[in-house]
Amino acid sequence: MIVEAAIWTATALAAPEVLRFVWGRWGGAAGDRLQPVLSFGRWFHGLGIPYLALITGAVAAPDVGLSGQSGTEWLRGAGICAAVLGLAWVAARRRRVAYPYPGPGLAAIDEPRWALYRGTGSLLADPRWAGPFIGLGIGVIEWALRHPPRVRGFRPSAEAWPSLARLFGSTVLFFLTRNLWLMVLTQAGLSLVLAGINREPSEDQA
Amino acid sequence: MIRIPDLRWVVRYAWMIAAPTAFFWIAYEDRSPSTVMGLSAIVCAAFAVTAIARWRGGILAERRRWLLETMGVGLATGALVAPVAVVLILVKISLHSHGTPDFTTSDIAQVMNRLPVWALAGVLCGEALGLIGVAFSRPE
Repeated sequence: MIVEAAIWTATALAAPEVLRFVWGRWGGAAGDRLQPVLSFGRWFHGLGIPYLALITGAVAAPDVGLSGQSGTEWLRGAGICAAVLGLAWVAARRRRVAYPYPGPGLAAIDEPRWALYRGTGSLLADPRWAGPFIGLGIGVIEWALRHPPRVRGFRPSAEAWPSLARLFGSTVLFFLTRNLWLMVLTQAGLSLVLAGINREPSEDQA
Repeated sequence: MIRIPDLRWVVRYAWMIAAPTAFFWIAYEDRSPSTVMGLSAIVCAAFAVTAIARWRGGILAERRRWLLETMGVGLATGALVAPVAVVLILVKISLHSHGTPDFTTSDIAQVMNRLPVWALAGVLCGEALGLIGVAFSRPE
């Protein structure tokens, strides 16, 4: 089980870099014709790889937060997620988010992949406590691969930090709720909240 | 000839009901075949309304042909309710991955046995939708 989970995790980590390399060689020549392939690849990376890992039994559904929650746990998790969204709304109204934030679909499909990392982490150590944080470590590796260091020293671009903040926030929220479905909804909801507030005129402009 | 009403707002409301319902049903621990049949009916109805709005919304049509078309769409939609319910069951089983699956093979057989009843229900709903469309259409 752990070997299969490690293979799927390594695939999820390496796939974007491999695709980026191939895209760099072919993308320019093929022009817009390969754009649907790129779009499909993004969704497959977010949803397809974790789903294949799940149905082949590499990771367990309760470890990734897909099943096993009682009605009470659902209600408690929903309350926590609603509180987080409310806090985000209040904070974003006080201070606008200056960095680009992914749309609801793209924000939501990060969650299944991060859940795969948590599932792999749960196989390595105690699923309740250590699993999510090992998953966070794997997620940070993915983030570092996606935002490689500049010429000297590790200094990612300013646009890279929101994705790391989303990963940290997601881990804390998963730790509290243990519910992937609510995480997906919260990511999409957060994106909609921030987009809605950024469309409003600011208090200075009003 | 009648002018079929623009049905885009119906499509919006249909998906506002169908998408969250499907999301929560797949997420929540529920093992009742009746619930999955109801959900499948909602999803199939949303697809049917979308198709009708896409190809017939706002156009001129002969009354009898419009009623036959809506009955046909209703029949196809009703006949699809059971197979779509089976797909939903399989998706839920694969996602939840319980030691004992959420649904047994006899549950799946029970769902498929309801196909003729749902096909009949689909014809009647399609006819009803057609008549509502006629009532709200403008004769031209």
